[in-house]
Amino acid sequence: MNFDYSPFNPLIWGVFIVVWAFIWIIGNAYRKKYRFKEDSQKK
Amino acid sequence: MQAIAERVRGCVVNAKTRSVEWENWMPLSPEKHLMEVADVCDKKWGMLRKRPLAFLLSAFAGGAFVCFGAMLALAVSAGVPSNLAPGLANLLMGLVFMFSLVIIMFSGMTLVTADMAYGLVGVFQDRITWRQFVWGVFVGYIGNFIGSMTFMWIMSKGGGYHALPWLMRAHEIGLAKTGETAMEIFVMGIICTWTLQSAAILFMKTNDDMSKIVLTAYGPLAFVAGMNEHCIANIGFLAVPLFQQDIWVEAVSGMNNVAPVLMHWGFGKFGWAHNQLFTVMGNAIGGTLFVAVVFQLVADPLKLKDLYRKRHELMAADGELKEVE
Repeated sequence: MNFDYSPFNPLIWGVFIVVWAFIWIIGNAYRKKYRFKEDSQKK
Repeated sequence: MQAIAERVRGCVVNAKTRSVEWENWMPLSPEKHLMEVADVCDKKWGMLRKRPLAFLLSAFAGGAFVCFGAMLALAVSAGVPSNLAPGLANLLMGLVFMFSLVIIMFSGMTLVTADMAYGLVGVFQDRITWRQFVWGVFVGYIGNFIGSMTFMWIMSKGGGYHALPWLMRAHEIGLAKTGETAMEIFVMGIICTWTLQSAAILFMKTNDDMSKIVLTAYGPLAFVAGMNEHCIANIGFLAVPLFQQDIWVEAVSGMNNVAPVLMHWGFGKFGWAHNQLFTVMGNAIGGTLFVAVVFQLVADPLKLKDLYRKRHELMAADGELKEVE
């Protein structure tokens, strides 16, 4: 099937989901490792 | 001496030597720079939380500012013969479009693609949550959409743009953008925010206004002259030929050499929504994965943590001082 003009192009949706899953994993790992909030709220 | 230094941002006077020091004139370190970006994220999302209508209005203005550039790009590129130099019209469009981001950044208005990058830096530095990030991007897009559509609808009623060269050029741009395949639009969307958000994030890198103007202008110049796809610019670029389509059909109905290919608002070839969907998806990757994540990971996290600690100590000392007073 030709998805060139379809809103459900599986390759593009696949890339989009994989990239955002990657950003989410990296982002959460980075936040947990460095905990910037604690440094800015330390008593 | 003090007065001179005060007039020029970034200068300090050395109390011992009474000389003006220019060290603050230098670009910020990567860590200070990323902290500034996170501060901008704080301000933006703080505004969304405390004054949501003001945030929406700032996004409305941002969308309209982008379309100031789109209007100028259409105005200067109409009638430029492609056999003169194929890239000349693109260059002219980029040169007049490039100040759009400058006026957005200097006025502090909202552009959703820039907020994607600032917001993600804020997420990495724990300033906002993922949910807040998604909500901010959504509201920013809605405001930009309304601003862009409103400006272009008003512009499309202007008599100057009903003249044949501009009618033909607007339709030509519309057909070129909506006639591309999904993958062609998607990759050009990625490239667009990769260049544009590099410029938007570098806005915070320097202290003087001239450097900020040059760095910020580079982004739109690169993406327009580079034939990329930007979701907010495309809302306007593609809405104009659709708003004017009946006038265009009437104008070309007597021409034998023009095949009347019509655009439409939906999905599918020559559809507004077809271009918009894949442009948004591409834009949501270029400025985040290749700019925000890369800049954040390049900055030394230990130095960044040290900056947070120093800032906290300064704020605590300031608080104690005020208590004593």
